[in-house]
Amino acid sequence: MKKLNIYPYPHRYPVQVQSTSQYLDEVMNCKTLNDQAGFDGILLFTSLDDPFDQWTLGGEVFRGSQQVPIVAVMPGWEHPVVTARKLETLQTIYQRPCAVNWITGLNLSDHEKLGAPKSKPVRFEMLNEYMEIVMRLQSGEKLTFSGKHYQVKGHRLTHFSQIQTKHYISGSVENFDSTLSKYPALVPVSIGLEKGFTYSQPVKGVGLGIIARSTEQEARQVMEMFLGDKKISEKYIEMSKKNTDSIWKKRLFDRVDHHEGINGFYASALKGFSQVGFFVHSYEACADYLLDHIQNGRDHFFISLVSSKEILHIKKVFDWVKNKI
Amino acid sequence: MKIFPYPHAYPNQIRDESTLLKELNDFKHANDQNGFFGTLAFTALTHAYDNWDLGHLIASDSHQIPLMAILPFYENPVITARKIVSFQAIYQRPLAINWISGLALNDYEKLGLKLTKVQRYAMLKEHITVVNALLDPVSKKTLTFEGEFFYVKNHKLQKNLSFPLYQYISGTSAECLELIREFKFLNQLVGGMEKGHTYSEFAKGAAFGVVVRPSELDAKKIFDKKFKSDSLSLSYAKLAQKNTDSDWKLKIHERLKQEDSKGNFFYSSISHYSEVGFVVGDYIQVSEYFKNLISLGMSTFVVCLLDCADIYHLRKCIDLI
Repeated sequence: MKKLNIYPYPHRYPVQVQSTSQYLDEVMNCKTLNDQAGFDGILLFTSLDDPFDQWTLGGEVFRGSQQVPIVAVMPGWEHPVVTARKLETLQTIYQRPCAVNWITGLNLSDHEKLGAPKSKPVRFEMLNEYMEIVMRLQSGEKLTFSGKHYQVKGHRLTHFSQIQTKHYISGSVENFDSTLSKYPALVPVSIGLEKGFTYSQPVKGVGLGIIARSTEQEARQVMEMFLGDKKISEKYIEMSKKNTDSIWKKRLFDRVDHHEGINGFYASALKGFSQVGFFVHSYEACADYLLDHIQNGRDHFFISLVSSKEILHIKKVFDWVKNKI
Repeated sequence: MKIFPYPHAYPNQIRDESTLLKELNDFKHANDQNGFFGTLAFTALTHAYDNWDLGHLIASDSHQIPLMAILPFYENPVITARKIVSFQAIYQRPLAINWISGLALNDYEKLGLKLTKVQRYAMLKEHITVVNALLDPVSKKTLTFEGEFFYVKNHKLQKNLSFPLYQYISGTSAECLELIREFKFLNQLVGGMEKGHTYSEFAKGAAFGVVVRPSELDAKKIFDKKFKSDSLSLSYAKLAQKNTDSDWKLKIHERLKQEDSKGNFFYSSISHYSEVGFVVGDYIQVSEYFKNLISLGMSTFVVCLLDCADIYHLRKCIDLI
């Protein structure tokens, strides 16, 4: 069996219910507990609403752990030449891979705030150029690139870590066909949906939340503790729907009623809302859910946690997965 | 006094870049042990490493405050502002930043930017404006800014500065002085020159190299050994001169054409991969150099050293002050 890539990360609650320092503590707890459980890394968010810079947090995840930070990168925030050098620098300092989660941005307001293009095709075009520049520079090429959005003239990185960066791409991957065919190491990731959902894309990784306990009832009780007021949550979800053109995000909210769920799968409303749905069930049922993905070739899991303490329970789920394989 | 000793960085043509990381690590510990304030994390596209990541390396497992060089065209100022608050939150300490408009002209060309010096300073001005507006602890409003280079609409950081932010700007040109006049929080960093040189009235700090030993002769021997002439270094210096429009850099290159040194100040390091001139002498001579700058109102010193062991000698010299 291929090695699974497991990235549990703490859910970031709105600042109204979780202080920025509490979130930072959660990331730090998560890195320690992930190390102890033998998990691979931590996904770090990026949107202008997030209090911390994702690269700065990434450096902190690297420090004093074996964790791989998965840093979300979207075009328009920094030059791709800077990103390429940053990846090689981090990998040299910490002597292990860094991972990038390539995104075009979930929140339309982020683009508006920086005066960046809001048009989805233009954002895909920018991201394709961005990824190409980073990957070609990392390959050692002396690069001259003249794109619609980025230019590079005769530049080569002067230092290489000799460590392969992990590249993930989230979203509607049909927009990245050419990039995916050029760079087979690029792993397409989608949001996880209820068991049995048929993914139209060649997805190799899924992002979802998991709450697991000995019984479904116990797991459900834990979820109840983290659910916010239904009316406030619905307000957040409505706001979120208006502020995105992400197909999978809309799909998630359209398919699943956040308080009812489908066979243990919920579009969560964790004291606000979550970017992913949650599978809430017994250890064994959670393991079956993951096995379904694994059998369909998806072996990269980005797992949102209601609290870093959940890692102990996620470990039990994967112990079940191992036993069942 | 804020002193930032940092290791001399040779170009990648003549050194293994990975040794720089080890040197920075050694420097930060030696700086801590000798009570120095911080360590410089420089930046140019020809450098092997990302400046922010070097900043983390410096801050990690030390008490050092990195002096981060920041160029406006590497990243959006909204991102710079958030990096600053993130850094302070994680490392629980102040941060120092050194605003620069870029020493190497080809850095701009490589990123497809064709900007005159006036335009580069206009870009830097916008960057500084946006960063400081977002970091303003008093303002509770969201920021909207529409400039020639940057645009921000209705944005506010989720986190504030938790510690002081020391802001420097390197340069001596008219454009730089205009920024200093406008932004009172900016402290001008100048390139150190020979004793007796007249600096701008705004200068609050200087960058220069130091080789100091108990005897002048020993210091001079070390300097000469390190900065040996060879054809590669001379051609590199010529290239560096062509690749800059920095007033100070051009001035020091011109000075070098006339003489290698004046008193204890040596320009000749400029011909040997150095960005700065060096003061070379015994403890008393070098401390006199510092005292002179202090008497001119300077209190920040960004000091290039040839070796980590030099930090101990620098301490001895500073103690005399």
